[in-house]
Amino acid sequence: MLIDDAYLDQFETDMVRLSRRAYAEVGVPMYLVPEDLTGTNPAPPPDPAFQALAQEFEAVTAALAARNGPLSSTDLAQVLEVLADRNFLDVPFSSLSDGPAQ
Amino acid sequence: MIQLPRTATETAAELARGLRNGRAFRLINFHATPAGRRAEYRAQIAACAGHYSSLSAEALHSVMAGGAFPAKPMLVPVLFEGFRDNHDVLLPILEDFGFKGWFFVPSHFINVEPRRQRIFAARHHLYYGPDAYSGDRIALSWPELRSAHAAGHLVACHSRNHTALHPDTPDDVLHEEIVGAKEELEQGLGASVDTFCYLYGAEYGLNPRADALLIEAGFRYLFSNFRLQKLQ
Repeated sequence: MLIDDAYLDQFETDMVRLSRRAYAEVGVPMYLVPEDLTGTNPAPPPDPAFQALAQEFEAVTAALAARNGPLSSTDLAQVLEVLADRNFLDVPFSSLSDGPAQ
Repeated sequence: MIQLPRTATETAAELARGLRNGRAFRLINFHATPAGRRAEYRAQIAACAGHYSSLSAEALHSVMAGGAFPAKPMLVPVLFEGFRDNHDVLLPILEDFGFKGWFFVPSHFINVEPRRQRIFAARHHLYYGPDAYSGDRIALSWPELRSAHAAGHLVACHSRNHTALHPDTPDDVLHEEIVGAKEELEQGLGASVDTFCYLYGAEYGLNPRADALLIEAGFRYLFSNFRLQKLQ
């Protein structure tokens, strides 16, 4: 997946915008990756729906590291939050928010 | 504030691998849910209703045992902190649209007497917006939590006092916040609880003594910032 400057600018703008939400009182979409620490279960069957998401996550995190230096844990959280905000619904999830704290 | 057992770059690679394997849970993380945002929550949950189904305890066990994800993607509304407005404002909306909420509760918050709950919240990083319950409790009550659980919503442990646990946290504090929390939550709920989430969403591997207590206490799952981990 090609990440150009314009794409990354918009992505970082969304990272900043969403990080300014009133986290104490708004719904924040997020992805959680399952992990079996017991090592006893069979490998899961693949789900093509997540291939594109994985590609975009890898491309964005690589582009961010190239632009800004080593990733931080906050970068990871914000990247996943932007992807979730954009992909959960047909419209950005945050577009259904009333905005700042009331 | 997010701490990881490995570097962010290494974690990014692991998450990408996990996503590429084709599985991820979709969550909506809530904390306080004030009435002033009721219409916003309703619009968001209504929009999700056409796309997603609920994650039940049974579905979680199945998926985490290697079973396939259901054909209709699952959505997990997570209600952190045990605020009363989770019950009064968000829960009816979730029920209107057929979703099961996952309540992550610091067990002792519910047992703090109402006139001291705001002080407790301020001292234990329990943040909320507008206070709609002036002079009254701001935490869930046990009857409210039991009622939600009886209706099929899920209850999980979020420590006892909403305390951050570090590698140098004394043993007695770890025990109170993990083992004590589970006992208090199960006693109040009248049911067993097998899922935990550390304050600030730490994942397994960051605090080995705390992780060992999770196993010893009988927790099966750990929710963290980026992963849902099956412990045993």
